[in-house]
Amino acid sequence: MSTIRLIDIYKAFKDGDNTVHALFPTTFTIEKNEFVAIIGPSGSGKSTLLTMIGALQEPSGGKLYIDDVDIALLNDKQKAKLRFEKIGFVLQSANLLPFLKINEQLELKAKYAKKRYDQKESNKLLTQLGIEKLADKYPNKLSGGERQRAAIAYALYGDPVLILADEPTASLDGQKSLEVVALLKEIAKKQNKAVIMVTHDNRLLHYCDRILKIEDGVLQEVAHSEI
Amino acid sequence: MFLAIKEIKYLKGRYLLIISVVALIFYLVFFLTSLAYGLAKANRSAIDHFKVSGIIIDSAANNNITVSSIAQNSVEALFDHDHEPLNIALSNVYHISKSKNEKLLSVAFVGTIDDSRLVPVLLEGRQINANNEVIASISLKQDGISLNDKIRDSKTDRTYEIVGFTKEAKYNTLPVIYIRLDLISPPMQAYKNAEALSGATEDMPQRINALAVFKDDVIKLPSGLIYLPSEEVINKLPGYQAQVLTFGMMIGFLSMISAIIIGIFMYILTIQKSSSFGILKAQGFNNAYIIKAVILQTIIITFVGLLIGYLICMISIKLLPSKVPTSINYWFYLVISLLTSLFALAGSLFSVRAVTKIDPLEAIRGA
Repeated sequence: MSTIRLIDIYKAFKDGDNTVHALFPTTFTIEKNEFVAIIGPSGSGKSTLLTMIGALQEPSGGKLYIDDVDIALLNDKQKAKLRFEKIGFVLQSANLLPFLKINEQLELKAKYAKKRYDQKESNKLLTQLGIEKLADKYPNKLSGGERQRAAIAYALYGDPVLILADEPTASLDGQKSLEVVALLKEIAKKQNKAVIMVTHDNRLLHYCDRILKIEDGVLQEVAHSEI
Repeated sequence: MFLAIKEIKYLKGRYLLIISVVALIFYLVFFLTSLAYGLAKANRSAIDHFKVSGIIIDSAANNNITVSSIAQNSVEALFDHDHEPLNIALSNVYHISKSKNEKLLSVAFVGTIDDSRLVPVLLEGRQINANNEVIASISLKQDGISLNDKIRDSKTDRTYEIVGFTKEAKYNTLPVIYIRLDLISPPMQAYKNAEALSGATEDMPQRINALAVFKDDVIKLPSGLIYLPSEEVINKLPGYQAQVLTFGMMIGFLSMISAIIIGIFMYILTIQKSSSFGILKAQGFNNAYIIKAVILQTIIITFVGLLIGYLICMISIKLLPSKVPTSINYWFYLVISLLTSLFALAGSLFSVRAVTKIDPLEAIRGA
């Protein structure tokens, strides 16, 4: 069972009389344990693809399965539930609420899921990510790298099957970027997750198992040696 | 709950400012309510104490008891309802004291029969036993009048001794002095230093201002007489309705304004947080959860503001001089609080709409 399965997925917009193809028909799968990078120049369709995989926008055609669930069959409420349960998002400038401490961000997820907040599980997760001492701090008190680690912790809490990281290192310096990407790889391997990362930074690609390149809406898999 | 409380804790300063504004508006609403109710009571408490269903007066009196004059025996003969004769006269009295300067006070004399049900509960002293004895509203104590003090009516020059105090009773804002019926009957007010006209004859019957009726099914009054239900008697008091309506409008508008202010604050806060809310929605949090947090914050702001406003109002009333007619009516407070809270919740619907319009995709793109 693949975590992500795209079959002839495409996205086209109407722009006046013209049709703009953000993504031409694309087929690929991503399995658990895989750490996949999506690369391409700005405006190539990377984010469109990522948001479709994240069930945030609908493809114009084709089939998309997340953890074997056909997204086309879900209504908005069911899609939101699927996002909450199966997908963890890590965004450019972190997906944390400014008014919650790091441990409270995790508690919020537990509360929303109507589950008991497990302090031990939370501490374990923060320890794994090396930010256990920051549990009681607000996001604005953390450095960029720490904030991204906290965002990863937040994405991981609740045990999703898929992690979608959109330019997770954009606001970090070189060394911090490498640390964060190494962490994402570790998560894919040790925690048996599918991790998809959109990035502009070619230095990070050697951590990834596969590289998908989009150019002008056309997606193709490329080898590390081709970069 | 979690989201709402945590945000308020984090943004203490901002929420404190909002709550302060809301508290000040509630303070104004409560304070005006106390003033309005105090002033209304100062107009009507004597009539409220009558506990009558209505009053029969001369139709030519233009609903004003004090200028009504009717023949007592002819009216009483008309029906066998439970009733009592009543006279009301506005006057000035001198407080006779040992000091050279006699203090002049405006009062309302209410003339009743002995052991009348129109006189409220006695708090001090005793009932009237003689023509030169009166009972006063306890509020006259604030003017320095004590038990056994003497007062002189400026119209008739008659002198009376205060033999008792009733609970506060005011007529048209004037403190009430209860007196024997005949002593302030319309003809008696024309005489200085006269004895009471107790010996009315068939040719010259005793005249009274009004007949207080305790049970409300008076019908078939002859022309020249009208029956006014109690509430109408109060509403017809000079200036009463204008004053009640003015205060009512002020209180109503203030309640609406406070609700609008809360609504605007909540809307601005929601718009400021739209990126955070968008990210939450992208992560799978549904609208209902976010909307609950917004509504809960509205309730918290309204409730805390209301509580602080109420406390400041109570302190203010305690500190005000007793001459300022304030009165606390918890029922009014409750109704106003509930209405304002409902208006505020209605105002927060703009925020609710804003939350539903937030596009998670936009939030993700902007993050």
